[in-house]
Amino acid sequence: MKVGNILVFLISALILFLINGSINGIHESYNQGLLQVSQETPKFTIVENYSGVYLAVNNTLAVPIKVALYGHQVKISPDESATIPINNSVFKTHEIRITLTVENLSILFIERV
Amino acid sequence: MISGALFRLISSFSYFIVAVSPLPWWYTSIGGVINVYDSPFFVNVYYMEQNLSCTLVYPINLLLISLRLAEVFTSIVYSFSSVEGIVKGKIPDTPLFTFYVSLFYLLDLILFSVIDYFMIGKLIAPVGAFKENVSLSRIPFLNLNGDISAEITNYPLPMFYVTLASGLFSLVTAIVSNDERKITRR
Repeated sequence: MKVGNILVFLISALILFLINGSINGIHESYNQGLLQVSQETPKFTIVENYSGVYLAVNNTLAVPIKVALYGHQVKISPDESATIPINNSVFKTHEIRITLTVENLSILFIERV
Repeated sequence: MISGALFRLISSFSYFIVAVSPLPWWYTSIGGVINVYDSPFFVNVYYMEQNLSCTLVYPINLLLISLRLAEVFTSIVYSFSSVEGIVKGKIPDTPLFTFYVSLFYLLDLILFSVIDYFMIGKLIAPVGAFKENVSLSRIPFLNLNGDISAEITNYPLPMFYVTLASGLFSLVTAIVSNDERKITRR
């Protein structure tokens, strides 16, 4: 019984592996998944102009997000972007602490600058 | 003898039902952002509104689908041998897959608690809804700085209870079958 079980497992795995385009096909599916994840992740960029330094946040998610940066908190609706001023003192510590809140999840990023 | 044969038939049939059922066994949500519906035969992962089961986690699902096919095959063989046992008066083996796999899920909870205790320093009941704060620097392979705070929801779905019931029934059947074998040998 155990031999039959293992044989069916191996044959099914091999057939599914070949149907899905072997290594290349599976690797492509995996990369597509990574792309899906990156599309659903908010983008942060540091923008510098004559009036100061800002953190630009683009909400690519389908739900609103909250971004907090040293006392400034901004709520960003889906498919919208916002800029948050970065205090110059941040550059003395060489790190920016960004808190991102999505639904019931909050992540504190510590970006080195 | 008849009761033992009937037990084995029900046990094999319930094993078949568990193996062919597409329903998930367990639900886990990390802050409502990552939602996982899993069973030993398929994992459905949602990141926000994106379904990653056929993309990012497909390599795992490929193996799990193969496992399902193997278990469906084995359950059919067990069902036939239990019917043959009734007709010919034999005592075939009892499938214990549902018992071991439901036990594995329960052991998984204990493992989660132990890992959690070493990472956070406090013991959390891993079933239901609970708040989790993890310092990313404590996870060395991630190589990230910062903290994650999330409300985690983790609970078994009705199909898990069906499997657990089937597993316990299989265990009782295995004990009854062993007793029958001892009596037959005498």
